[in-house]
Amino acid sequence: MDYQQWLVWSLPKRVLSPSKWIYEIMYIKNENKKNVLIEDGEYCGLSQVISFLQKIYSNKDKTMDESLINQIPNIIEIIEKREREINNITTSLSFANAKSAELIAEEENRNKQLAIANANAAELMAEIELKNDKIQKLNKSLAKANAEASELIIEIESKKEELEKAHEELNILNKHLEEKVQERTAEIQHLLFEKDEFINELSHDLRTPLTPLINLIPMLKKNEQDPKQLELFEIIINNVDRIHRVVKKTVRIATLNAPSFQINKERTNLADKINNIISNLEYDNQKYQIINNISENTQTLTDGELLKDLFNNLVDNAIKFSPDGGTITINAIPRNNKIQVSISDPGIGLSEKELICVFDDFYKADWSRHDLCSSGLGLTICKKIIEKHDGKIWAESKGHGKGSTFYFTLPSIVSDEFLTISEDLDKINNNLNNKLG
Amino acid sequence: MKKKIMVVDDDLALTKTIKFMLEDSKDYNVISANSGFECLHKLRNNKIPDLILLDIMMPEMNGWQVLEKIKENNDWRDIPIIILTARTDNLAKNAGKFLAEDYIEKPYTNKILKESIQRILDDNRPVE
Repeated sequence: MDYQQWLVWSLPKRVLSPSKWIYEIMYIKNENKKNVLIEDGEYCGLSQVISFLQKIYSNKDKTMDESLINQIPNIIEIIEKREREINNITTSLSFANAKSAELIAEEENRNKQLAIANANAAELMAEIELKNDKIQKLNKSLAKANAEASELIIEIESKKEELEKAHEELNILNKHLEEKVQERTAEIQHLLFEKDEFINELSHDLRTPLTPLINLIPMLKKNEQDPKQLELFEIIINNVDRIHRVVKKTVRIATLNAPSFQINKERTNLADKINNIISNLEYDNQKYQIINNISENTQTLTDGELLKDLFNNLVDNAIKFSPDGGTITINAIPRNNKIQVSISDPGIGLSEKELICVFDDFYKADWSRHDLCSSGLGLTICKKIIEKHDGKIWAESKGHGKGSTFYFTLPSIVSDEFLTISEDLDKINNNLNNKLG
Repeated sequence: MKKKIMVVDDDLALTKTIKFMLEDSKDYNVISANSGFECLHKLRNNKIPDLILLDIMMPEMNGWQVLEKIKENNDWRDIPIIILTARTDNLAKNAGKFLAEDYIEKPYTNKILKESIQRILDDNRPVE
């Protein structure tokens, strides 16, 4: 069988695999140079094969088997069918390819976007990790701080408990202390009361026997002529007088201290009252001069008896400690709704220490005063009298030999009147303002 | 004519002292009583003085009770009374000044006592 015969014969079998078949044709062409089916380099498509077969069929090639030639239209039909199928397949394939390319492109695009997204995600991840690190560090610090805070809280709680306990203990102690203080205060008050009662009783008991002594001894002295006896009488009389003074002043203090003591304050013209007290004072007006500079209008609210006692003590002291020819000056000025009274003397004066202690019970400024018949109670009485008038008493002196001034304050009535006048003036002013305005 | 002064005090030394003091001046005769009962007894026996010096703090019958008895009696109520006492409280002082002619605190001096007696007797002198 030559080539053409083989071809026709084999065609129906080969159409299923056209590419291979084409290669075989080409191969045949190269092996049998004499029967050229397809020119060199020429694409051998199915249409060429068909036209070749149609040529063989129309020519009724005598070299070929007649049954084979008769099959050619069937073969052509098969080839054409195959060609259509191939075309369909190719079309589908190219469509599929195009689709596939599109999908690939899309995929690539998506991949690119994914890659970008991935890159971004990686960046974000790095950032997140960085932040996580920081958060972890912060968390660690926080945990440490929390731990420390917890410790501190525990410590504070413990301290708080300790403090509360201490506070409770302190409260209990305070309560005990308060009770003790109250007990002690009651005891002290009772003792003070008993002391005053005792002094009062003792003084009363001394007052009765003193009466014969202070009256009979001078009577005996009067009838005595012997100078030595007279000197002895003088000593006895002076000492009895001394006891008399101490007893009198002690009783005065006990009376002022007694809870039952009531002050009897009344409106007093201070200048008149003091003039009256001075006129009744027993002093040598040839040796000493008392000047009352108090203004006629000075009104106070005072207990007359106590005021007399106060002035007797202060003026008596001023005279006692002043040199012959000394002048005692009494002044009064309104100050801070009170009347401030002063009694100045040119006497022996007081040191800074003495100024502080001079109002204490039984205080005598120094040894030089001991023979001056002082009881040491006069200024204590003055202090108590001024306290009963809600006032203050104090002394001032530039030192020994430079005189002293005793100050005290008394309730003022003038200030009340001023207040009333001032209130009335305010009312009048307001009325005027209302009418004008 | 000497004035009769009755001194009522449970303290013997005091009644004697007053007797000495007042009789020394020759102006007075002194009747002593050492208790409230003795005072009332002597008054009942017509020993009516021109003035009574009366102590307050006495046992059994105190000065206030004696004062009350004297003021209750029509024959005695006009006798002036001076209270002599060691009591210095305001209550006693005020009551004494209100109920009696004078109130003198112990220890008193001859001078004070005589001045008070003289003043009261002068005030009570009948109008001539």
